[in-house]
Amino acid sequence: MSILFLLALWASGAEARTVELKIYPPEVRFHAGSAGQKILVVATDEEGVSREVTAAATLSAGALAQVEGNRVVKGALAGTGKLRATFDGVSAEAPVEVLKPRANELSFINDIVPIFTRADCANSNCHGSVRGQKGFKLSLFGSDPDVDYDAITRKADGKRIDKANPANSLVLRKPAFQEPHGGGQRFKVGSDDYNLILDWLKRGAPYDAAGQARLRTLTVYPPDWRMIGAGTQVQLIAVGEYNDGSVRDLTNAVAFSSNIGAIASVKPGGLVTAEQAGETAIMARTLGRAAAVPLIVVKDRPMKNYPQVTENNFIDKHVFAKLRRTNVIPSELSTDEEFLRRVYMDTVGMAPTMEEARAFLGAKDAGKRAKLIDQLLERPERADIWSMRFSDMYRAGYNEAGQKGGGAYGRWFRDQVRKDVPYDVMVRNMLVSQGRHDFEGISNFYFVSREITPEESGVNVSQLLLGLQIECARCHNHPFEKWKQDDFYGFAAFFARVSRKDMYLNNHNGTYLKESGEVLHPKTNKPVTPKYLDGDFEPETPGTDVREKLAKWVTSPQNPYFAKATVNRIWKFFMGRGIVEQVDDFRVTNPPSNAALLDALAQEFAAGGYSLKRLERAILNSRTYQLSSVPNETNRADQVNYSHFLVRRLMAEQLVDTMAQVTGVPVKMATQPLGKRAMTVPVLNFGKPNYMMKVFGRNDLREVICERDTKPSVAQVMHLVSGDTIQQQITAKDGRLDAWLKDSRMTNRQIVENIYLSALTRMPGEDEMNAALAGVSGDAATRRQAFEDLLWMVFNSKEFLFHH
Amino acid sequence: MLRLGILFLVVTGLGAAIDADLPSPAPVVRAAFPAGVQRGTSAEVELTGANLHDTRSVEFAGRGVKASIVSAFGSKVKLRVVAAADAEVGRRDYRLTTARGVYVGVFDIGGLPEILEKEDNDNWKKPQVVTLPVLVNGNIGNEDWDHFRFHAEAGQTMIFDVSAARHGSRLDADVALLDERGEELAWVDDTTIYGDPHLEFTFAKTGDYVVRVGSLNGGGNYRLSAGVLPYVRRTLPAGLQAGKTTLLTFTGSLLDRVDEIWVGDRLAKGEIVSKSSTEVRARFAVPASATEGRTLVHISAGGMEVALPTELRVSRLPEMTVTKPAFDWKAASLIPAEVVLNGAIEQPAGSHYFRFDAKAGDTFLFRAESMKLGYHLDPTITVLDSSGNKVAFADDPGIDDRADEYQLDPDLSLRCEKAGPYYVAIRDGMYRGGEQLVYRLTVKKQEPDFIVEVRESLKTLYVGQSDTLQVRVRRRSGWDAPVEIWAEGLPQGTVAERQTAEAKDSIVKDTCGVERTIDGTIVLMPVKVGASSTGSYDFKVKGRGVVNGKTVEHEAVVNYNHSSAGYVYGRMQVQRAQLTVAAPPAVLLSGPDTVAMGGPLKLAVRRFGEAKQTELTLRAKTGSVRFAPVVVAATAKEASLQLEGDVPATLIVEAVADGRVLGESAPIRVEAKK
Repeated sequence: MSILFLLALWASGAEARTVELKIYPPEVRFHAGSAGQKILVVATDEEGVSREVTAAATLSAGALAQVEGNRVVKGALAGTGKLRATFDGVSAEAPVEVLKPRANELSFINDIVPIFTRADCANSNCHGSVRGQKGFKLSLFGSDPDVDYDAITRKADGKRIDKANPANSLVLRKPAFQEPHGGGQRFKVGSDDYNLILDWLKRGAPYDAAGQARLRTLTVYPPDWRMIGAGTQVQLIAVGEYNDGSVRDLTNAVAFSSNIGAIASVKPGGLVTAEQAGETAIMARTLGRAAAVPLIVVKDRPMKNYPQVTENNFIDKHVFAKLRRTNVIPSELSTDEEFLRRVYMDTVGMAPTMEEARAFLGAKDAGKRAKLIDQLLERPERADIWSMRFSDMYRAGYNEAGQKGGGAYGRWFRDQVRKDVPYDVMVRNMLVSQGRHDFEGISNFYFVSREITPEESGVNVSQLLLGLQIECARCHNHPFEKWKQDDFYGFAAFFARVSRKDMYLNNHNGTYLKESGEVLHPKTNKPVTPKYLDGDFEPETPGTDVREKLAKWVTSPQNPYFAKATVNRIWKFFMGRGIVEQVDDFRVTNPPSNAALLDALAQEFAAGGYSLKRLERAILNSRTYQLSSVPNETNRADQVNYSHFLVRRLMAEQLVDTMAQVTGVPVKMATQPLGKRAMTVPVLNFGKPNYMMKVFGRNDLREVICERDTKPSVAQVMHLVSGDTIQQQITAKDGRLDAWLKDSRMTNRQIVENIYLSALTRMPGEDEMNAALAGVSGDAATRRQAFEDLLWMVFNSKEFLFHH
Repeated sequence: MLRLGILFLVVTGLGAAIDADLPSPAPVVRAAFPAGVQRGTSAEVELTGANLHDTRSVEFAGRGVKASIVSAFGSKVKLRVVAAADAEVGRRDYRLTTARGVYVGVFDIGGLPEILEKEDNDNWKKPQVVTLPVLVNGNIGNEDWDHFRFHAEAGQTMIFDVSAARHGSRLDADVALLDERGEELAWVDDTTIYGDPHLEFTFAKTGDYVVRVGSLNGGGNYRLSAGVLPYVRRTLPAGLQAGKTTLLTFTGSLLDRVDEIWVGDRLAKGEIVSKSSTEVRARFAVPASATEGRTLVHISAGGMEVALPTELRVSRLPEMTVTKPAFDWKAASLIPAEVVLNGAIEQPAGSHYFRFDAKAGDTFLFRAESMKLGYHLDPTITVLDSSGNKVAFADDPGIDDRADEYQLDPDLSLRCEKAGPYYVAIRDGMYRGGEQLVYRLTVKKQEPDFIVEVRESLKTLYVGQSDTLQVRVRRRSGWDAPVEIWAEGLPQGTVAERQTAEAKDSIVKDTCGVERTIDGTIVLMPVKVGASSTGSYDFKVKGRGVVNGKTVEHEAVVNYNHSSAGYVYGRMQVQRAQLTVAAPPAVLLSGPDTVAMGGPLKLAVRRFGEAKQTELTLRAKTGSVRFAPVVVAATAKEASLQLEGDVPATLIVEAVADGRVLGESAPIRVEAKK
């Protein structure tokens, strides 16, 4: 361990000077005469540490408003002004707007429904579950007030409310535990929640009038937070904006929860307590909306003398900033040998040849890594590995498409990558694709089930291209997100005319646009107009293909999802883990591990014309990608912040092709001619999978998401120990081993070096050399046997099997 | 491996009802190798299938191709096929006749020097060396690839064209081109409408290369044409008017090499007007007497010709080529009331619009053809009224995937209720564009009409057997009346009941069990074979109906039997339906084609009708091979014979009961033990 590193581990303990003060919300808005708006004052010191100082700050809102208890700003008259906060000699200001008084109406949607979410009645373990609880079924987290109103006032013959004697209503008596209740007491008699419901019942339990304001956005402050040391606390506040322009302080109305309670816990009302070091997010939910605050808990204050780490490009800037914030020091730069093997595997799908390895390792040029990356990005094999990635992702060769359709699709991907076609262009073309599946490969985009349906197409497009899982909204409004059934069917309606038809010969088929088609809403049974996710309606014009407009919307630089979802997938290809994980599950309640990095990658991707090559070059040239996989004391536990290269098993194709390259013995792929590299076969014959490919995670390409199974298994071990692939590889005649053995100029030492260099991209250590040579002696057969054993040992080593 | 054939003896006069388990004795050919022969040469061709041992004749359709039987044994027939020097290149039907049935298959006449593939050529490092130009007759089996090495000069463009499905092979072929290191330079799969691959490649470097034929979907035979050869990818117009001179434009590769060009079996020779590497223009004067229907284009360079996958039509209507299509109905030009429009949808999402004038009550027929001609367009037809409102639309015809020619070319009939301008548009059903998306849109006024098709044109029935004959009636131009169906020419003693095809499309189940409505009505005519003499009889099926007081009668089109010619469907080249009457057997003795002396000969024994519970004695009918008589118990289903005698020899085994011969095996070849 270096002295620098030891110095860096020495954490600062002294109190630092405040250098910045912030007020949340940044714009304070509330209605005159209302309960006002809670505020937070956050001070940041010279070491970058922030803490909440609301109680200690000096606050002033002028004549317009009052600050109550140093925490809540309220006022009686409409107008605008400023809130000023001062702490430790530093001041901050936030604009204050006091809106006109809100009508004094008790809203079922905005006042009553949130109570059931906050009181945990409407969660998935209780009445919000699919079947409800004891016959009482509420919508999950208040996502569908219509359902809730029906359940409370009408279902069970209306027995849950008693309009004649409102306090006798079951909807009050059960949660107040005046009646036996499996869920126990959810609020007390006389509490605010109790009184609000009682008040509503006394008014006759009305439903809201048409046009009642609906919650449009939910925002939680501060937007992210770092807590230093267990036991420290921070208060969160929640602000709701409604579709009529009104606002509410929802801090006491939302249900707060922690993604990982062991790292930070949260109480009703939003007080968060740090429990132990780690990362989590605090969720706030109400009325079907959700917001999250990413939270880091670190053990100590920032390290003094944190080492200066070289940044190669914008990626490193964001990765290393996050690491510094979490008191984690990145691993050392990888060795040339590690880098060489890694970059070959990721760009051309197999290890470098001996000649390539010798050339690179022998070069003294300081810029040789960047030069090599440039060379590899021009290799034709690069298109093969991209084709494989896309074939997995887009399910090329789904059962119905078979080898021919899947093969055509894989070849289309390869052709696109070879031509460096921008990804947004590829996607636009896929979205409007039609054609015969086994002839026009791109037309397989929609062919992922026997019958192409608008609903399934909507799910695929949102998940694959936007990283959004909207399928929940097919049956009910999404529990955690904003997606409603209207959104789901509106999006599906873009694909109402997309269908499959039989073509030419038996079992040949194609995707085409029907002359007409529509999607019916399951509730109304009426046709749905196409509608962008989180956007406007797009009525279809006769004689046009509405998918063209969708394609433009999906790939627009203004689309908030596309670029991020794409770079996240690409990042995972190279780094082993998505910034958002799982890669197709972008949602407020699943925040990215490094939002700034994700944003920067997305901006770079868009600014670069959606060039895969340009983004790939940036990633490969980053120090982050080139970090060693060997962890240090600070980053051993890190799996999410890319402080060291994540070790993972190689793809089946990388293993098989590298073995074949090392031995010079081609691996026969079922239904493919001898000599065909595994990486060039986008689809395997389902009836005859190559066993090694199958056991090492080759997909059968049928699920929406085709991430490979990268887990180790006993079957893999057994196949490596004694399977036919490895046996054939090491024992087959006329391969490289025989050529070396027949070459009288080749010494045993050189053969050992060749095996190590071609398989592991490094020379053997002296111990390894001695051990290998000790086994080589005797006649030709014995000598061959010894080298076969060495090959077997190398192929069975973790160093060979893993990407590191 | 021994190949089992079903062989039998005919015993007449049993008089009982026909056993439902009786297998058909009709001949079947599953493969021909080679699947073609070069014109001006002869070749020995082996047909493999079942029930072929007593093949009597093989006749080819058209002019210039003859076959003689070299041998017929068990499941194989060897032919000597002779193709005249002026025989037309392309697919040719042959009709094989045995005592118990008729089979119609397809064959190919080539225009290049031919060779046979030689195994072992599985490894690209051990290819078969060929000299171009050449046509290789090959066969792909399981996990089989055929590699052929050839030489190419830098800058040379060559074609590699495989014919497989289009001459009836079950092979779904693909073609790859490899360099001297085995790296794939190019790979193509389904290029033609039939799924056969076609590759054109220009070589950057002089050297040796390898062309590989393989398959992702099972095996079968193929014919690979390779070399620096002219090739036409499309022809416009795709038809010629009989009695007129038509200027055709051919688009393709290496066309500057073309020195001769003609259509059909010397129907019309082309007068070349201009040529370049990618285009030839030539005039053709087609005699007025020419028969309407399909014809082929032939282009030749130095006497070398590659069979093309596309067809032309000869018609009686004027042929127009659309060179400046209107992409909007408002810009459409007026067309004659009766015309054939020829064009290509080259622009993606493009529709070609045409205006026509109609009188109130006029009925028009619009017929789109593309796939039937061998092109890739999936046509749709739309008709708009004078305001641009859609009044009719047609996409895919209802196809019965168990029996129909695979094509998506629609017909659309429209009765114009109002007089005035109308607009007809044609586009690709998948909004594609491209050079190969060629169409012929026939526009004509037509009275209501119908088409009758025999779907089982070759049938073998036993004396005493009852069965059905499948016929289809398709209605056109608003025909909405029943059609009466009957058969003529059946042998005395055989009766087919008249049937009526109601004006309602039939529903069939496809291969996935999904119901689909097909174009037309399927009618099953009950047929009963009474005391008819055995033999083959030509018969006709006819249909008659009345619409608007007018009686219309048609003779049925004769189609290939389903799957009888591999993936070839539609009209037979020789319109001849045949019913064969065979005597039902009492005993079937089935065994191998060949057996080794010393080993046991195992025979399957099947009894039918009154012979079902009969004890049999097996004995040798012929001389040089002997075995001790074997008694087969009444319930036994097989027998094992120990052979002795001189070899090679041919053995026929008889089954005898009460002194009567109830059955005999087909000839079995007995050879020396290896």
